Amino acid sequence: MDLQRIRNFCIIAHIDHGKSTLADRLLEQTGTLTAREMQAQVLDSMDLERERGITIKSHAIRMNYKAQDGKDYVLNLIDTPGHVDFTYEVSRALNACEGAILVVDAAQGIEAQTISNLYLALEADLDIIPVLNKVDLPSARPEIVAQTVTDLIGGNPEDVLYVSAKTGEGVDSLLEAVVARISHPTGDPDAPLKALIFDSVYDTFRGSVVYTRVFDGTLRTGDPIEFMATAQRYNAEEIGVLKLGMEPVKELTAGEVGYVIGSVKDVQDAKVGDTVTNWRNPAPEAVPGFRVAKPMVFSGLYPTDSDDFEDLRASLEKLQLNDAALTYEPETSTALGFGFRVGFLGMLHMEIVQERLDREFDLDIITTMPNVRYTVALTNGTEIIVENPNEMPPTGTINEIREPFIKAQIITPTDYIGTLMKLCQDRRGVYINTQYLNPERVDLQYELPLAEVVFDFYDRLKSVSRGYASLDYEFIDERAGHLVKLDVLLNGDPVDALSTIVHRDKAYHMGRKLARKLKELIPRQLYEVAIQAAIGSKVISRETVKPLRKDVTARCYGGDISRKRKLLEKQKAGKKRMKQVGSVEVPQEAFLAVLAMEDE
Amino acid sequence: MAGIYVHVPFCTQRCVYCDFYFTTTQHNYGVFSRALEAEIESYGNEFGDKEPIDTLYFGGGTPSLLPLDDLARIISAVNDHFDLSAVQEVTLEMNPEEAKPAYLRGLKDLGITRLSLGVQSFFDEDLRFMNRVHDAAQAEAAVEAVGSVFDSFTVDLIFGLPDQPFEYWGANLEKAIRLGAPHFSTYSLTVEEKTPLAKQVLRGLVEPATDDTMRDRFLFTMEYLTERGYDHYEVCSFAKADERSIHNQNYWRHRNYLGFGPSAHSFWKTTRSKAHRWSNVSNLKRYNGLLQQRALPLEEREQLTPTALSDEFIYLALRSMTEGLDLDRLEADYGVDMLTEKRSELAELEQNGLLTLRNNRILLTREGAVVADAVALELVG
Repeated sequence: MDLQRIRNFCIIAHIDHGKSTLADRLLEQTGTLTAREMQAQVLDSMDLERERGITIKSHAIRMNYKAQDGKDYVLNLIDTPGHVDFTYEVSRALNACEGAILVVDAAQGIEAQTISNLYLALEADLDIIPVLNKVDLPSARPEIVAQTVTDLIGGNPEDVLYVSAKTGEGVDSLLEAVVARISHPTGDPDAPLKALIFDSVYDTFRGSVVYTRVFDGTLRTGDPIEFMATAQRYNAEEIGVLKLGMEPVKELTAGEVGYVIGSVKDVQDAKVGDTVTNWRNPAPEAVPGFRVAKPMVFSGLYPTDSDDFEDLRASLEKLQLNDAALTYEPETSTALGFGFRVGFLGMLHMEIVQERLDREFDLDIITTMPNVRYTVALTNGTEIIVENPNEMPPTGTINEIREPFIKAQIITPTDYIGTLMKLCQDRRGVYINTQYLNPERVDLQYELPLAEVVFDFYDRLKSVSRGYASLDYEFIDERAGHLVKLDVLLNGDPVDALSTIVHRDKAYHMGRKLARKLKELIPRQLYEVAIQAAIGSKVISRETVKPLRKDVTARCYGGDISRKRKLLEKQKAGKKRMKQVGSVEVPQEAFLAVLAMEDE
Repeated sequence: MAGIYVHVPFCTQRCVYCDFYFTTTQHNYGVFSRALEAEIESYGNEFGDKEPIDTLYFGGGTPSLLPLDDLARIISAVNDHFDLSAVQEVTLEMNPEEAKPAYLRGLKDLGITRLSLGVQSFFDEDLRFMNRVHDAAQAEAAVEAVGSVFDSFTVDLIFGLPDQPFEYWGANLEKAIRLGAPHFSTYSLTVEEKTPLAKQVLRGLVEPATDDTMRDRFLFTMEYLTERGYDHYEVCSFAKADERSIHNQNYWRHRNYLGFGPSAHSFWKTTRSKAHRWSNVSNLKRYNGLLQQRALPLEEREQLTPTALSDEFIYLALRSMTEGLDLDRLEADYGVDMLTEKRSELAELEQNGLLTLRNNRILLTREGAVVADAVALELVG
């Protein structure tokens, strides 16, 4: 295929800034889909994504476009996941493109996530087409927003396109701009095959469907292929291009985007960022930038009903087929029984997985407090990785605990700088920089321990800024900190599922809050319940749940025993849902107590 | 031996706390009595020769609103269709304002052996709050009047009214003892759904007494009455020697009983593992109408599972403070080996002074009685 007639691009946008609607318009305008075929926002096919307005799994779609110059072009739109947890996946998708449409809401202005993705795009040397969406809104301020955008990417405000994805206004000029302003791919169709995997989805019958962008060479049906990082070899049974469905073709040449199927049974073998080559005539080097996406946040997932353990395992297995970043291994908790320690890319990823387990698999699960991965240097000179607070070795054997740090970028209206800075300081943040994007918006940069961000930081950020601030972060390094393990004991029995690792300076405060919250959540029982928070053997806080004072039915008049018995049966069922810790019955909500705590 | 309960659904006015079925408007006693006779006949055909009846109980509502003639017809209907040759106790619930000498004598002549007098309090402000018909003076006069005609009677008293001073409660017990009450039924005021009291609480007009207050009152009651010669034989019941309510004890003992009248409940165990409970419609018009068409006024009927049956027995038997839960009977009749199945729970409950284990019976302590429902929840299957 003539490289000059191909344009590979993606859309960078903040959640709700209209990426999906704009994609719909492009498909419609190019006749890729008829209006009848058009399901609203076709690119986000999972219900969950559509509800959240976040594309979780990237897809790609090929459009044929006859430009005003009278020539036919192939436009490949590669969709990117739009959240901080998926930075690596985004960077791989961007690398598969030559250009990007930068969509900014003309009313709301640019957001943190858009900026970081924009930086990724600039790093990947993409041609950027700035677009203001929702210009039809009365609250739109296109001139101001256009200025901010040009300040960031250079160029003139006049180069910024105005569209309304909703009405379709400006979409035709956008298509022209894609042809005119985005470079065509380069590459040698006769060179050894070098193609980037930017995504894969799992098909029950055919194994992994690998989405790829060919940089050099030609991928033909029947080719003996190899994924270079994993060194797995397959036969390219089917290759094709992505339209509304998969459309088989005989070959994909340099510059093209498509899919390959090769009986890849294990999704772990087709990793995003890996390079596809022909092992009979391999590429001298892989596409740079490959790494294995590592989970950053861990949480224990336990079935509420212990009989559901195998169902939970099966569900996680299924989820992992389409989500290579998800890791899990069985673990046992004395309080919660059998479950899994599950690793996620970040908090959103965790939320999505939980919600899918609930919705798609109808599983009732208890999630323990999320934690990060710690590197623990022991006094004997060795190092261990701790992904569960209960694996933390005794204090005496620890030389140093290192925790992951992130660089956070917060874009906010200037009004909230003060409260946001306070929030970051409270979370052990290290101030880096403040940069004014325009007189009303500022880019605030902090380095923060990831552990301080994994729970409720994002919610707090949103609430102190009335929803106006946005956040993006990237992992930077590991740093040593004064960290301790905080345990919770009920009537002297430690509750493993409630252990957390916290900074020493915060342990006392946290212990007190946790004990108090648990006191609220644990109902009165026949006997007194002592709640203690402790570091090692040192109790730092104690609360008491007083025993039931009175619980007796006045009378069973006229022999109406059924009513009492039905109540008893209901209470029995309620008791079964509680988790038994020693002699104490603990309701499930208690295990999320830490998550439910407010900053004071 | 089995019991019969007759629900008389008439009241003059509505007490704030009451959630039993009653009507204050349709007082057509004749129609009701005829419907009741039809129901008694119908069940008599099925159960009349199964077990003799040892107790008959008129509850309500306000059975003492029924004219003597109607009561006589009902009793004779029971007599016609059931074996009353071994009857030991015939109880009727009465409101103090109905305790007129002629009526009382008439009841005695009909064979009523025991009255349950709904005094609730001897203080006017308490009675006004509860929206009782009678006042304090009537309450006192009623106890005296009943005592002059009946040897056996019980005084119902309610504790834990909002803001009721502790002294009032002590004074209520003291006065009833002085007036010669041989039996007490003492109840904590319970806020039942859909009652006027529940609405007042919801609107914030009334603040119910705390559990701590209820507990104190209850513990005080147990101590006070037992010290004065009343046996605490059931969680809420206290009696002088030989004054226990046989009818109510039959409930705790899981014996058979038939309930007649709207909203009445029945329990009948045919074999060791087969038992049914059923209840009547809670609507006088429908009750009358169904029986006029010779149909049973059933609201619902269920067969109890073995677990439901043993749970009930455990819960009910625990309420009996002197007999307690007979573990041998539990094993023999219900197939539950509690000593094995609930070993750790029992040990913990005993250690914490909520129950004692004697002669293979589980007996609640006073502390245990205060939380009897929670203790039962620990022990059911």
